[in-house]
Amino acid sequence: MNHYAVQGGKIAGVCLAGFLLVVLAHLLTASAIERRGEREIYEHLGALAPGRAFGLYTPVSGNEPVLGFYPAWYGPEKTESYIVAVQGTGYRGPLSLLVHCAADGEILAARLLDNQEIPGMGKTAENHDYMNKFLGTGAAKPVPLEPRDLPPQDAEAVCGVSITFGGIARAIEKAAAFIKAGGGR
Amino acid sequence: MSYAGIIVSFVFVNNIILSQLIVEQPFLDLSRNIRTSVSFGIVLSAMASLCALASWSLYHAILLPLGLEYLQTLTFIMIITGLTPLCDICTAKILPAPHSRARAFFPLISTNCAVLGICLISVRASYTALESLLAGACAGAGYTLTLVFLATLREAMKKEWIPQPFQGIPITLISAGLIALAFMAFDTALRKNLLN
Amino acid sequence: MLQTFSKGFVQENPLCVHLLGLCPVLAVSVRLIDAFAIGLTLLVILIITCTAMSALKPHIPGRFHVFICTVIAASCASCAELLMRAYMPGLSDRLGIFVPLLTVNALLLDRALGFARENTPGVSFWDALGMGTSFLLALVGIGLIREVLGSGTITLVPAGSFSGVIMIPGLSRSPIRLISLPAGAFLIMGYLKAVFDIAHPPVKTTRKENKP
Repeated sequence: MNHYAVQGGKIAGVCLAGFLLVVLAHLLTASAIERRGEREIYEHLGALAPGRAFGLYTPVSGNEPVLGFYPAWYGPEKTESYIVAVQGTGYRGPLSLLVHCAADGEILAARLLDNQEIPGMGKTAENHDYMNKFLGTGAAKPVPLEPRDLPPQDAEAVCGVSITFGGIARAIEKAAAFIKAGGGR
Repeated sequence: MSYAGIIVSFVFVNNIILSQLIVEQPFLDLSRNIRTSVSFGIVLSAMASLCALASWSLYHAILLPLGLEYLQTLTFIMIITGLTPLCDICTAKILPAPHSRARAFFPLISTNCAVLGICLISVRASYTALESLLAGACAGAGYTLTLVFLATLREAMKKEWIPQPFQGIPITLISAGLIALAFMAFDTALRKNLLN
Repeated sequence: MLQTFSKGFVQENPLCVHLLGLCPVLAVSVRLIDAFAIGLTLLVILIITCTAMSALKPHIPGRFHVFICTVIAASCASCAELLMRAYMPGLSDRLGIFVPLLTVNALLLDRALGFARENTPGVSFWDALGMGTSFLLALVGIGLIREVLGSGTITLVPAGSFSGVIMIPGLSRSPIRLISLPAGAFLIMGYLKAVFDIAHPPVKTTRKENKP
């Protein structure tokens, strides 16, 4: 009996050492992970809406795929615009996007963040000029949802990766519609 | 995600071998003949769903309330390597002797990366308990399907002439690649068209 | 000792001969830098697990060896994942679930439960270092081939004015996209294994199955 207790104690000791090691690693890295998340978000916000002051993140529920938004103000008149976090569906999984919309829903800038698209194919949507085809739409002009809504060169560029394009386009359209309908005020 | 979505996704679209590539070397040995691949697949599906459910319960009952999410890998692998010998003993008690051949697969399952993979995926994709149970079973079914296809191809290839350097493992890998190519037809568009 | 270290490079190369540790090889060899990172992580985990396993083996009854081995490996893999998430965010997003999956990597289990169980910690250390390094080299080679052919780029670490991505003229505009897809991973591995078998015909040894 005593023999089993010793063996069990040794195994438990190894497990405990494993747990302690991971807890230690967590304690060392937790603050860095948290800071990194915040810094990254503000870097993205700064790039999407340069020269603006940002408000706090407001989560939105019951309005899928819109997850939340950051209000932003610009210039002496404090023109209000919104940076909306949306989650679309891409070729291999969720796509998270930040979309900068004016108060009337016009797209001012957009950026694709986390995604599982295929490098060389859907991943090319991470390039910042990919989003140029959506700029200026959303308010008076509708957001292009299908490759055939685009001018010929752009349509050619997304041909073959139309699932990623469609996922991004629908997410951007929902973000614009959310702001247009008065969400965030 | 809906239940039908999980089934289509894990069996075809995000097949754990052909599309997520969560696969280790034993699948080359297991796909030698159809019989082995089917019986391994059944044991794997059962264990994967059981482990997915067990790790889901552990994660939502203990790790999440205590803020210990970072211990998920460590605790899940303890569950898997602990549960498999238990199930091994249970099947030995329940099943009659001729079926005990399946017991040879249990050691392979406790260190199969598909099982750990599905536990981690279902927790990280925040599935519900039933969804993770289903995800485990469907991932196992997808694994079985791939093994059966591969075994069928390999049995057919026994009659064909294969260049000497390609015999054995290389031709099996290339066949797996061609099956994966065929499975690319099941892309997300299929799931969308079927369900919406 | 030198022989223990160097045997893994050609005649017992874990990847090219036995195809051990296939999971990271297939899944994260789309970019050179990802392949290098996962290979390096595996090398560190392998060294720690093998040395610890051979030191602990006299104290633990045989039927718990698999359990203990996976616990040690899982602790190392979790630490690696946390460190990566904190200091190399982009990398950790791309590697995702494959860092925790190193816990059940076949190479690791084979060395820790096979070789390390029969040898002293010192010898196991050199064996793990040699096997891990040769795995890393093979993985980087496959990553290079897949990235050059599949995307037409070579991704390295960005430094100063260098963005970290080398574009290969011609290939980067119209790469063989299939190779960067999952199907291409299997195809490339199959052809490489065949080429390796031509260069080094497999010796029909009765390799002891180290299946745990």
